[in-house]
Amino acid sequence: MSLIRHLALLWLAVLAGSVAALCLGALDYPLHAAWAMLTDYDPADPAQAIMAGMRLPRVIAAVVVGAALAVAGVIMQAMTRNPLADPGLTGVNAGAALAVVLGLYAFGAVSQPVVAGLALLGAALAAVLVRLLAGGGDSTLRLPLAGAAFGTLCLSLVALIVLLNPEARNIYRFWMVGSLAVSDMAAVLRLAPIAGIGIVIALLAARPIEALMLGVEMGSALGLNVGRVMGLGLAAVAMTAGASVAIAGPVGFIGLIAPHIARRFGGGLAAQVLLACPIGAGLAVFADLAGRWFARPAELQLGIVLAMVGAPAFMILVRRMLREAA
Amino acid sequence: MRIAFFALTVALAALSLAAGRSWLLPQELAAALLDPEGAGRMVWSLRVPRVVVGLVAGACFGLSGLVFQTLLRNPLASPDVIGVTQGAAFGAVAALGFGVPVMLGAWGGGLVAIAALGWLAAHPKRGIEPRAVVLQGLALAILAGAGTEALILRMGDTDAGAAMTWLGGTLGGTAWPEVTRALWLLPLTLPLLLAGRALDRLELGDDLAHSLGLRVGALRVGLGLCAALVAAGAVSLCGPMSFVALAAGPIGRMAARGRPSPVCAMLVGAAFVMLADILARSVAPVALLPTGLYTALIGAPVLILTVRRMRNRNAL
Repeated sequence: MSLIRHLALLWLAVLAGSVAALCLGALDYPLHAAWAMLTDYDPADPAQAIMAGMRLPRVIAAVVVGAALAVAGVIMQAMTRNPLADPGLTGVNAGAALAVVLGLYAFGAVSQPVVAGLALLGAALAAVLVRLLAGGGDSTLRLPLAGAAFGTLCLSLVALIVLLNPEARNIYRFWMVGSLAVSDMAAVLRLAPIAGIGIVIALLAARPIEALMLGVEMGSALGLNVGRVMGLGLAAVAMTAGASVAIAGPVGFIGLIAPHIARRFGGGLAAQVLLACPIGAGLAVFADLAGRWFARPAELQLGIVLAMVGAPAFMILVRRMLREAA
Repeated sequence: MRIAFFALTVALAALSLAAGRSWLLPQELAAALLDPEGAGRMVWSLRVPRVVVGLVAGACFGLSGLVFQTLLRNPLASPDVIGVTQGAAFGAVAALGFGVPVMLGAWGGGLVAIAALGWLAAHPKRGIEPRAVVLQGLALAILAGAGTEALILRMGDTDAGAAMTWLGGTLGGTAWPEVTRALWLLPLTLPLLLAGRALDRLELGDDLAHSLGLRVGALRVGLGLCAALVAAGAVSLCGPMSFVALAAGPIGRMAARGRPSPVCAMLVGAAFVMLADILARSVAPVALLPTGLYTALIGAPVLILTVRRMRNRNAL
């Protein structure tokens, strides 16, 4: 029962953050005005256009991206047994971004489903490649290092492709650091189900993955099909990370931090997946609000705000691991 | 090998002088170089400073890469991976905002970064942990990069555009004042150049180096600070060019038959920047892609290969 209570409280916090994100920004709206705009929308009013056209899609995008990346992080950390695994740090997001940008460059303007497909493919390929590059073994440091190497290569290629088209320079920031500034409601709503399916797969795969992590032999003895479990996990990571990249570009660190916070609440892997959703969503909503609030009327991209919070968190984690190894 | 790399660097520098929107034939280049006032005015005012600064910056990156990799006993621990370069870039952009000389800012940023890294990667008993250095450095690099972005946000549009280009690593807009600054950096490289033999002995391990009469701790701190200053100085000249330092270390080592040779690392770094700058000006000159993009594209595979090699040796 405590899981349900925790979930309810966490989602309430996300809701509160979302309301704040709707009301605050370059223009502040009082609560009742914001409510009136959402319930009784008048497209002719420019103030209301900001609310419906910019802030609402942005908040929804933040919730979807945050929850998806958090779940990707939970599954990656469980499958690699590595507390430093994160779709951003391990180059999965960068791989997805490269796939999308390659597609955009090769075929010109492509439709939303194609973008999503490319992002999924890129994320899955990157996850497999980085895992191969890092190899097995006990060292927790290999995976983030291999991922950083692979991610840097991908992002250099993204920069090359994007910068070669002079008119594409304004989307350079989006594909390099990740941002919610250009969230478009239709695109978000079309991509959200992919992230949702990924989260459901993660929930279904949580039990078998947990069993598998007791050891491959043990898992087989329990009657698990190792290949299928690994495939399900990979599908969950690819769908959640891929959808989030298609919505917001390569955003890092949510997948690193959210699982660590979720672990504090205890519970099995399935509970972790459920808890990570509101935690990641809250991180994304508050980080995006902070980026818009502190720099207003300009804004700091979501990926940059998260790097400012996430990099120190990463440092603390590594330092703690060092001490524990002592 | 040393002579071969010297010849390669000179050849690439000559090619770089001839390269550009209008390529010069060898005899045209010779005529231009001999006539600074007349026919060679364009070459002398634009291309010569660009090549000189590129050579110095590349040499500085290569040298500091080798020194850090040797000191920290980790082929991944070059200044551009462990955050020193990004710290210097943050300092330089901050200095630009406060009207302080850019090189001072870069030095400050680089020193803060290396000090922070020393603290972050220190094991309570065993001292600096070679594996943790790279991970903490990665996080430091990301943090410094995010801070730089936040600083740029507060700039005007034109300044911000210039800063963005500079952050990609570029030799565009280099003129004679930059050459003077570059030459100021050279004295700083002297201690590192002379440290070849000490580096050789450090390779043997701290205990053996100590019994050979080296003061290991002081040497490590002194050389580390000096290498940070050299790398940060190079950043203030041409921005943070990725992976020059990372690639120059191992390649320079190969050129010196496995020994950590400062001269070889400098030559490789200089040649690397020359090559990247020639590519930047000839592959897609209209798009004006930063030189650092080409160093990153050549250097990232080196990074991946290094990770693979270290993994196979179980050093990671």
